[in-house]
Amino acid sequence: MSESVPLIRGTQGLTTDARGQAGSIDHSTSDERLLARVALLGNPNTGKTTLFNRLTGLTHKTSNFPGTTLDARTGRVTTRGADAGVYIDLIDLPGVYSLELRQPEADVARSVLNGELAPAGIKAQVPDGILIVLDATNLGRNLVMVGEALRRRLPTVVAVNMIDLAEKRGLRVDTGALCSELGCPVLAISARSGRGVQDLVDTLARTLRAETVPTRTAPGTDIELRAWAERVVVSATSGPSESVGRTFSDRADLVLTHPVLGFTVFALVMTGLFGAIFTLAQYPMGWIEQLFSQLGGAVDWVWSLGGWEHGLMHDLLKDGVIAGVGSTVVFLPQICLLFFLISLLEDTGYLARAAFVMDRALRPFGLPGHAFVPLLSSHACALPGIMSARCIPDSRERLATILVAPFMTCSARLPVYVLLTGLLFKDSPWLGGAAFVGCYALGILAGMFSALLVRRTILRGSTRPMALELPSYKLPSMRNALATTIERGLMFVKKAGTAILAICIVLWWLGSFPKVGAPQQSTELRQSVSTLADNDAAPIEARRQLGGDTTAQVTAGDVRARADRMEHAYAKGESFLGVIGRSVQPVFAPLGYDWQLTVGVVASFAAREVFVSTMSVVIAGEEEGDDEARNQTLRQTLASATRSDGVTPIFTPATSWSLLVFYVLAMQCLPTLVVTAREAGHAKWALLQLGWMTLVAYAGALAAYHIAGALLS
Amino acid sequence: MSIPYQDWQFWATTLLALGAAAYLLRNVLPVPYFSRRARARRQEKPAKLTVSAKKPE
Repeated sequence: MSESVPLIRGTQGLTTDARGQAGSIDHSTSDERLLARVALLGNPNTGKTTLFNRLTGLTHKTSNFPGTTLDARTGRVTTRGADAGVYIDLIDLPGVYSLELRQPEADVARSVLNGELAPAGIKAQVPDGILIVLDATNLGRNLVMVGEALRRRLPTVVAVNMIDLAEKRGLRVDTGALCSELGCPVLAISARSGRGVQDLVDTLARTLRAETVPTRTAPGTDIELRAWAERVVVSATSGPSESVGRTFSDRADLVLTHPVLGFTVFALVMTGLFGAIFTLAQYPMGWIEQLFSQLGGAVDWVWSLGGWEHGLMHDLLKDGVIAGVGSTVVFLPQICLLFFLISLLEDTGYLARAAFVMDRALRPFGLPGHAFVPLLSSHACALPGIMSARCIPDSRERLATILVAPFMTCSARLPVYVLLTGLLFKDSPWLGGAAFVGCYALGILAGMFSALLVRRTILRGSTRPMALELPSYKLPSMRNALATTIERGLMFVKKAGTAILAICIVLWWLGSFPKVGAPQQSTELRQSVSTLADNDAAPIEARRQLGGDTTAQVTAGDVRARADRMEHAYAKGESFLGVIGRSVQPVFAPLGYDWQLTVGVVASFAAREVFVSTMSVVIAGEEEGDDEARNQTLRQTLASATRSDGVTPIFTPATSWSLLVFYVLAMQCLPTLVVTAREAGHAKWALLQLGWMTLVAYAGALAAYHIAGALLS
Repeated sequence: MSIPYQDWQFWATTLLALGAAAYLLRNVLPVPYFSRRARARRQEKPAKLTVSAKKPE
């Protein structure tokens, strides 16, 4: 036992470093003063993130720990009463079972506590205090890390979370006994309901202000530490043993982790998830499309108000910026819904069961159960997925996981999937949802096939068994899900507002110059209807030139619209963009892509989601002068877009299937290649990944084009 | 085929496009990207991660 001694550090209250440089969280505009910087520590699945969200609200910042892709979240906790007028900066550390583990998460947590590392934008320094979150239903395991934290001699407060769940199970936690055993304040809370959270903030503020370090410490060796943790649990808890009777979690696990039933439930959950996303997202997507359509109209209105001619600046703003950015932002509802529903699922504890079920499925492909987390993370983004492959102990298994992770459908692919499945199944959202699930399944299958191939050839070896902790089932936190959704949504909007905006401007410029005159065919078409009103029937010569049914009812307006399309396609084809597209197009011709689709594919090499905005910019303006067509949504515009001949549609069903398969399988993410090279230790692995995925994507798209062409013709 | 050199809007849009291209290529261009974020990034200390990528045995 040690005496309570005040800490003397010169950093308290500082928000900037000695040079006064920017880098700390900037609260200088606020009247409040920084009291302390506190690290939030805890095991995985203890409700640490829920507590962080509860304490900081939705105002936290997300960055990364430098040199890693681990999320680093920082937020401000405001205090009240005697401590009013000050705030605490909270740093959310990765969930770890022990600070002594040789894992990236533990390395980061250890480095932050040592003052060697801080989230991006914050000066690294030893935190002023530690807030530890424990799971009230699993104190024994959690206390090992508490012992490690106590040895650091920093002001510490312990929050025993999920106390409501423990009470429901008849488990009693004596916080007073825990407090005397640990030598620091201990509070029982429920981060989900908010119970005890305000008391926690008050206690934390008092402890930090007094700079009181724990009066007790824990043994140094691992065996002694575990024995100490068990003794503390015995003295501070009482209630039924975990082995008495089956809990709800046990009974649910009989079904959800069953080899057949578990997999069936998993498939149903995933199908329901994506079906719901498709159905629910239709309405906000329509609103966003309308909004951007009206923004385009507003640009026209401003120009007419100013009495200006529709020049290049007007075209850049309307056809480049608004059409391009709008075509990406329209997918925001799907992305938000996906993250919202996944977050709810994760909160219930179901995702851990899904990992358990998937372990059986992964093993035959030579991947360990540990690979499930990287592969699941890759469904959000391949970068954290590849980084999290560090948790796989075997180097061959780790390398195999890294190589196949980008096959998993990341969120960047979603806009392309939504666009193409929307074009293929515009009247049946549930079929679209099924195709969506099919895309995910195809990516997983391609990944598994590739894993099997590398594990049987260049990365031979046996797989290790996996140990996994299954958290208790609980009601999901809407607040948590909402916080995650807003965070991810803002990241997407930020990307649309920066990189995608820049790409749209560059593509618009390349597609707008040099200027060319009208092609001869469109000039002849216009001349043939020059004396007619839009509603008048077109002469037989014009109908013949259109190449369609000469007996069909065609008006002069239809002929003018066709001439518009021809001129637009001709202008784009002769532009710098068209020259680039045409020079690469022979490579993609066997897949059914014309030069416009080729430009989309090539432009999205660095980032997949750029395809949608590229298509919008390349094809935008096609309906210039046609009020009815101008109000069409992007999907309708693309569905009716034609090739340079002005007749053949760009997006035939066979082409759309081919594109869909290509985007499921292709490696079109430059940052992923960079991270692969770094994590795998050599650029040759990134080149292998790029070459293999491109080959598989090309072959798959070629097969899809011919099969769909044969079946649908 | 022509480039509208006489139109001031051509030069305005070209400047914007060049700026956008520079933004996209900022990480590969040799010119340092002088921004507040870049300055802050230079002050950061990278994590000393123990897991290093190794070639398979």
